[in-house]
Amino acid sequence: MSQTAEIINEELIRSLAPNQNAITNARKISSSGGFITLYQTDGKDLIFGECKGSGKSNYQTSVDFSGDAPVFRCSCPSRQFPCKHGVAILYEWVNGKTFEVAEVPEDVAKKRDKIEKRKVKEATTSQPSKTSLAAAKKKLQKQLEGLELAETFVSDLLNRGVSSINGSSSTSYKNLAKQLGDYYLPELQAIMMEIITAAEDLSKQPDDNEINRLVALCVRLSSSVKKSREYIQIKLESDNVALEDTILYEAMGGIWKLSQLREIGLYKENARLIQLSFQVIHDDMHQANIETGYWIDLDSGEISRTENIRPYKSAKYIKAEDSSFGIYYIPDLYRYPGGINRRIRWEGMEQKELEEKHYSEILAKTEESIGAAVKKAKNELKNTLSKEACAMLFPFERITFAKEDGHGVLEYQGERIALKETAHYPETCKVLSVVPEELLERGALLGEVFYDNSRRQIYVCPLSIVTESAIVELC
Amino acid sequence: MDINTFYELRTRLYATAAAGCGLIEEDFRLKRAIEAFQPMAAANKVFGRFYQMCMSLFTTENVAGTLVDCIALADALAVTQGSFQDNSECVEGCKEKNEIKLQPQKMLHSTLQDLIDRLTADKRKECKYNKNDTERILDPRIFPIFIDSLIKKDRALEEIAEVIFPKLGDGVIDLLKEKINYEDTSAKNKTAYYVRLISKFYGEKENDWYVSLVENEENPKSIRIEAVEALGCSMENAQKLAELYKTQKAAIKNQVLWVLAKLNPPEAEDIWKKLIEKYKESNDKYIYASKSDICAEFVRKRFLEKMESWEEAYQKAKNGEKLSLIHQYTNREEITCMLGRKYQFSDCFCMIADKLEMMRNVKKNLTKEEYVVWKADINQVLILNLMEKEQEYETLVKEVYEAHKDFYFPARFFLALKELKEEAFEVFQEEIRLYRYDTLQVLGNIRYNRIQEKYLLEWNHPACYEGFNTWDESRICAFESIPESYFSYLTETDYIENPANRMPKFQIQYTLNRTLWILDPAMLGLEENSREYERCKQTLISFAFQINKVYSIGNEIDRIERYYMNGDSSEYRGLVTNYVMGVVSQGRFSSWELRYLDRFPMTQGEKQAELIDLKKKVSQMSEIKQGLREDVIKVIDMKLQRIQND
Repeated sequence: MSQTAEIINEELIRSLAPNQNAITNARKISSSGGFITLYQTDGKDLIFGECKGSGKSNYQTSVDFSGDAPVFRCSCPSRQFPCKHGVAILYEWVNGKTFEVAEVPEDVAKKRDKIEKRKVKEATTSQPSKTSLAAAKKKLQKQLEGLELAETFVSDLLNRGVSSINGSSSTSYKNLAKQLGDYYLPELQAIMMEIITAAEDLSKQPDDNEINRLVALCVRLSSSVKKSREYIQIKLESDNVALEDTILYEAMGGIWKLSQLREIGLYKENARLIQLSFQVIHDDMHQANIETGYWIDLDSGEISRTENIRPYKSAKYIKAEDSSFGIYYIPDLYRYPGGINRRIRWEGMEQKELEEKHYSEILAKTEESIGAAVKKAKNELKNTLSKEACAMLFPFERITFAKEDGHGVLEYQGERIALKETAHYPETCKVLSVVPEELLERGALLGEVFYDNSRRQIYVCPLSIVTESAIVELC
Repeated sequence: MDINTFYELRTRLYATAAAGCGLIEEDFRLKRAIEAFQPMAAANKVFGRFYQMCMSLFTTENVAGTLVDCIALADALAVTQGSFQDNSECVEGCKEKNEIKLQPQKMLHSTLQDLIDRLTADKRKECKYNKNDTERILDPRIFPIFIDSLIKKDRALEEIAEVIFPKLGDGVIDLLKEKINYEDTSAKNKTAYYVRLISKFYGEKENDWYVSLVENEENPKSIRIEAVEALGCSMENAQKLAELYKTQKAAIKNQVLWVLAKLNPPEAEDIWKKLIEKYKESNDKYIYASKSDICAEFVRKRFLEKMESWEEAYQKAKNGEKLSLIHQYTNREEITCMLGRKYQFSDCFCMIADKLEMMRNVKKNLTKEEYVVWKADINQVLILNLMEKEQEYETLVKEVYEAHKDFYFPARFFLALKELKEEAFEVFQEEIRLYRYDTLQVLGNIRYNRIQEKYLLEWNHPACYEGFNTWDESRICAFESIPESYFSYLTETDYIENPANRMPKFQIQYTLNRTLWILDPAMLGLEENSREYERCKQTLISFAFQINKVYSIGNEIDRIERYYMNGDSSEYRGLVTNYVMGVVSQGRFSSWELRYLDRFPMTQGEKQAELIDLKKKVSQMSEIKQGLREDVIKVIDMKLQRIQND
C-alpha cells in the first residue's frame, strides 16, 4: 500500500510524533526557518531536506511514503524516533512551504533497495535454515536450564515461607534473578524480581493482602515454569522448533514479530476496528508504562487490546499512543495468541470518522446476557497465566446505584452485576456516578470482569459506555 | 454442604505458603481445614481431586510444588464459585445525594493527562490555563481532581471556579464542604481554605454555617479563623461579628477585628473607640486598616507627628547631618499602612509628597533610588484603594494629582486606564510622554489573562493590606485587545532621535529595555500562535529592528533572535554591525559579541560582507581608544579568516 506526501495533515503528524515535546520542538524548527533546503520526488512519495541543528554539519532528513507506513530517516544523533527534524519536515509540508522537485538521493535509494531485497528474501525462505534450527534448539535448551533455576527459587521460597525473606536471602535471590537474564526468560525474571521486592517490603511492613498477592505471584511463576517446561520438552523431542499459537512463548518473555504471527496464521485481512477505551497503565513489575487500548472488531464483535509498552527508562524515545475516535480500516491485522482480549497490532491503516451506524453495529455486538459473559470470563480468569481481568461489552437496560454505599449496579434482563473499581482504573466508578442520567439507560458498557478474593464475588470495572451516538470514556 | 469449608481451606493454603511449608506435618490448622473439607470432596469430582491433592501435601517429597498446585486449583475453583448477582436496593442516578451532573467530553488521553498533570503539579510550579480548560474541567474525569487542586490557592484555578461553579448549582457547596478536615488541628490545616472558597463563591448563602463553624470551639482554630473571614462577605453579619468580638479570644478575636476594619459597619464604632481609648501598640495595624472616621482621626494625628519629626530631620540634614529616620523600611511600611484606605487624607498625601520632594533636594538626605521607592509605595497605596471600586478614592487620586502631578502620575494614569481604557493614551498624550518612566511602570503591570481572554492590570497589595483577602480587587480589566495607540506610544523613538526631546543616556537604556519587556508576548502571557500573540510579536520585531538602527542596546537583537528567525537572509544585514558598534561605543568588546553572526540565517557571503562593513566602521570610530579599536579589528579579521576557511 504505497502512499504519497499528500496524506500529511495535522492529525497524521500528531499520530506519528513520539510525544508532545517532539511536536513543540518540530514546530519551532519549522517556524524559525530550520530547513535550508526542501525537496520532493516527482511522485511525492519522498520528501527530504537539509536542516540546521546544533551539530557542525546540517542534518539530512527525509520521510519516505513508498512503503506501508511512512519511514523517517535523519542523520541527527537523537535516539528519539522519529526525531524532531523528521516531524518538522512534515510541518514544513503542512505549512505549504515550497518543496523543489528532485531525484531520490542515493542513500535513500540504497535503503529502499535493501528493504525490497529483505522482503523478497522473507517471502522466498519459509523454512528455517540448519543454522537457525540449531540456534533455536540451543535457545530452548538454555531456557530449560533457566526454568530449573526459577523452580528452585519458588520451591525454596515456599519452603521457608514468603514472609520470611530477610536481607541476606533477598541478596542471594536477587543474584539468582539476575542469572535468569542469561536464559532468555525475561518475563519469569520480571516476576521473580517483583516477588523479591514485594517480599522485602513485606518484611518491613506486614500486610495480609500483600502476602496473598505474593503467593499468587509464586503460583503464577510456578505454573509458567511447569507449562513452559512441558512445552519445550515436547518441542525438543519432536525436533520441531517452529512457533505455535500459544501464550507460553510470551509468558516466557518472547516477543512476537509480525511476520511470525503471519506464518502461523494469526492475522486477519480487512478488519474494521473502533477503540472503546484507552488508558496508560503504570506497570512497576515491568518498569514500564503500558498504553492499553480496547478495540472492538465490528465484524466479529471480538474485544481485543493494543499494548504500547514504554519502559520508564526509555519512554521519551518511544512514540506514545493516544486515544482514537475514528474507525480504523486495517488491511492486515495481526493477532497474538491468547483467549479473550487478544493483543493485536497492525502496520498500515486508514482512519475515517465514525458514523451513527457504527454505534449501532457496536451495540449489536454486546454479550448475550450478563450470566453468559461472566461464564466466559470465568473460564479465562481460571487460567493462572491469564491476566487478572478481561474486558467485555455488556448490554444494559439501566445502571443504578446502591442505596447503602452508592456502588453502581448494571441491570439487563433481570440479571444484575455490581460495578467496582480496580487498581488500574481507580476512578471510573466515581465518574460513572456523575454522568448525565440519559447515559445510564439502554446502552452497552465496556468493563473489565474480575474476581474479588476478599468478597468472593465477580465484579465489573466500568471503562466506557456506548450509546446510539457516542462512546463515553470513563477513564 | 458448607462451601465455607472450601474457602477456609484455601485461606489455610495461602497461610502455609506465607509461613513456609518446610514443617507442614506440624501444620494442624491446615490438617483440620482439609478434614473439614472432606464432605465436600464427595459432592463433586473437582472438589474430590482438590481434596486428594491437599492430602498428598503430607506424603509427597515435593511439598512446595504440590502446595503451588493446590493453591492454583483452589484459585480456579474460587473463581468458578464466584457469584455475580447483586441484590442491593438501588436508586437511579444518585438522586438522593444531590450530586452534580457533569458532561463527559470527547478528549484525547494526552489532553486529559496534561490537564490532570497541571492540576496536580506542585504548587510552586506555575501552570497556565486557558478558556478551553474551563470546559474540559467539567468532564467528570477531571472535576474531582480540580476540586482537590483548589487547595493550592492558585489564582487561575479560582478564576476557573468562578466561571464553572455557577453552571453546576449549589451541589458544589457540599463537595467543597466534604474536603474540610476537622481532625487536623494544626495551624497548617490547608483544608480550612475551602471555607474561604465557599464564602467567595456562595457568600451570604452559607452565613449560618460560618457562624456555626466559629462558635463551635471544638473546630480547629484555622477553620474558625477562615469562618470569621468568610463572615466578612456581607454587611448583614456586622452585628454577629460585633458579638463575636466580645465572646471570642486571641487569634479569633483579632481576625474579627480585621474583618470589622474591612467592612466598617456602624456596629463597630464602639469597638474602635475603646481600642483608641485603651491604646496598645499591638492594635495599630487594625486601627490603621479601619476605614472608620474615628480611626482616621487618630491616624491623622499620628501621621502629623511623623511629619513633624521629618521636618526636624530635614532641618538637621540641611546643616549637613546624615539622616537615618526616613530611610528605614519599617518607617515606610508604617506610613503606607497609615495612608491605606483613607479617602479623607488628601492633605496628608499632599504633605508627604511635599516633604519627599523637599528632602530629595538636600544632599545626604534622600537618595534618588530611595525617593523612587517611596514614590512607588505611596502610589501603590492609592492604586490599591482604587481597586476597591469606591468613588471617594477616585476623587482623592484626582485631587492629589492636581496638586502634585509629578508625584502622583502613576496613580492618576492607573485611574485613567481604569476609566477610559485605550482612550487614556489620547487624553493623557502629553503626560505619558513627559512621565514616560511612570507610564512604563504602570503598563508593565498589564498581563493577558487566558481564562478571561482579556488584558488585566494587576497590582500586588502592599503591607498595609495584611490580613485582607484582596485578590479580587487587585486587578481591573485594561482592554480586550491591545489598542493601536498602546503600540504606537511604546514604539515611538522621539526621545532618542529628536534632539529637543532626547533623554539622558541611562534613561534611554531603561526605557528601551522596559519597552522591549512590555512588548514581549511571552511576558504578557499570550498564547503562542494566537492572533494577539502574532500582533504583539510583529510589533516587537519591527521595534527591535528599528532601535537596532538608532540605538542598539543588545536586548533588541536577543528578541529578534527569539522571535524572528525565518526572515529572508538579507533582512539580517547590518544587525550585528549596529549591535557591535553599540557595545564598542561603550568602551567594551569581546569576541563573544560576534556570536549573532552565526545565529542568524545568513549566507557565508553575507557574513563576510557584514564583517567587512563592521571593520570599516570601527576603524572610523574616533571616540574609542586605539587599543580597543585594534582589538576589535583583530577579532573581526580572525572571524573573517574562519569563515573563509569554512
